Amino acid sequence: MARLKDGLLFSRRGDDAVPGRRLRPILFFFVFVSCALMLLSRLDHSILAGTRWQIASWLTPVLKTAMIPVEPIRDLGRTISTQVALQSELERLRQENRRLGNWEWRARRLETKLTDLEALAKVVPEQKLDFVTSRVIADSIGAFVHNVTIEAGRTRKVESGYPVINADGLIGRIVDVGPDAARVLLATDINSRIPVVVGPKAVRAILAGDNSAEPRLMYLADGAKVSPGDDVSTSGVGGLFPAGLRLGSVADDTSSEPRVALKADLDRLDYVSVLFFNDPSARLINDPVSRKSATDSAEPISAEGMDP
Amino acid sequence: MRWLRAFLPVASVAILTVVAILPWGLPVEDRFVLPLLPIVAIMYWTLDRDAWLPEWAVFLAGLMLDVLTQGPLGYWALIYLVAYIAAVFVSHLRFETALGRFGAFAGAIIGVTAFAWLAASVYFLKVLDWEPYIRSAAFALAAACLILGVRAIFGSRNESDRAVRLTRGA
Repeated sequence: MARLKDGLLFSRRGDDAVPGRRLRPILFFFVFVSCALMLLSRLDHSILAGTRWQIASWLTPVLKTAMIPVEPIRDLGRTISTQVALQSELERLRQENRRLGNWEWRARRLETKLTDLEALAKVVPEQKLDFVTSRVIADSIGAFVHNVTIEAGRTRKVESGYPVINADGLIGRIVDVGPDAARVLLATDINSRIPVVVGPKAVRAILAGDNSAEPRLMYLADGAKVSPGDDVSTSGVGGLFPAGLRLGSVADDTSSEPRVALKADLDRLDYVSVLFFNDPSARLINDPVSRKSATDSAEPISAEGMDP
Repeated sequence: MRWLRAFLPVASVAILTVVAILPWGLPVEDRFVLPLLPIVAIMYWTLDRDAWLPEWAVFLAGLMLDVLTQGPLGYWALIYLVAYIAAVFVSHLRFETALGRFGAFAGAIIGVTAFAWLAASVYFLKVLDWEPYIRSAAFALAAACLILGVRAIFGSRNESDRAVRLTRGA
């Protein structure tokens, strides 16, 4: 029937007309719909974001199933690349081990000193963070977004805003949560902003992703000196991330603006851990007792201030 | 084998779309390669006049990629539809040699990749780095070369199995 429709049944041998498909009006309808959706995405329509994540959550089982044959292939690729780079990797590890031996000795001494000082000053112990580790089931690192989808969702007590780390340090934070999946906005994404401290002088800055492999450092104080190799970690300012999570070091190429070479390899994320970190100051604001005491203490001052 | 031609095009495009989303551990700059693989399949099946690849399947494949990659909704749907249109135009051209056919196929892939770069640049209102697109187009061409090569081998073997086309005159 298709041939009859295309008028090919009686096409003459040697005719100029070459058989082929025709463009149907529905195609242009779909093109129009695509353009309209792009425009709505550009305007960042809230309905689209919610619906999209809902659909993505429904498709999670498909991705989980598709991951089954992918993992052996990925492992094989990793084994091959490891074997190829084995000799140089061995030499690098030997040198690093030598260097770290000295550091270990220094770290132990400092740890003892720090414990003594903390006991002396009666320092409040740091908040112990609980976490859950999950497999990465999809990633979308391209021109538009840098994020990954993990297999843990609301049922695993994962919430929006939680920091996500792997063995190498911070990689991003949760931005969308479904029942069995969550989306992690990576530190390299154009929408990512992380308050950080840089180098031994703890210079404060914002680590801003721009969809490139190395995010840039923004809002450095005037005259602040940042050198290649300086360590970059979270500052904890704003309560979005706990302080002291390692991110990487300042990249060698600081010709135009300082950039950070992330320690974590975001291209090869297998398993990541979600830290159950809630902003302590947010809890303080929501606490009715502290709110009442703040109101009580504020009232006499305002009354005094108002009465002449 | 007709059922295969009815099922395989949609299935292959859907599978390649899912493959494009999975974490393969590719470097950031080479990630653009994966979404181009369904484009090769779309073009291949569109050029095959007997294959059943409806427009809605192409649109849905692109939309699925947009949803799962959290990119701008409609972007890949538009690119895949443009690939479909390009393949329809190529299917109306006449080629005497296999090299000519491959040249048209390659031209269509390069054109679609250039359109993808242009659309992304317009979306962000800035000129994007074109190198990842060039690399991806080269990879897609290599994939197309492989597919057409395999088709040439198996196609010639199955030539006698194909249905006889009725023609008027001689």
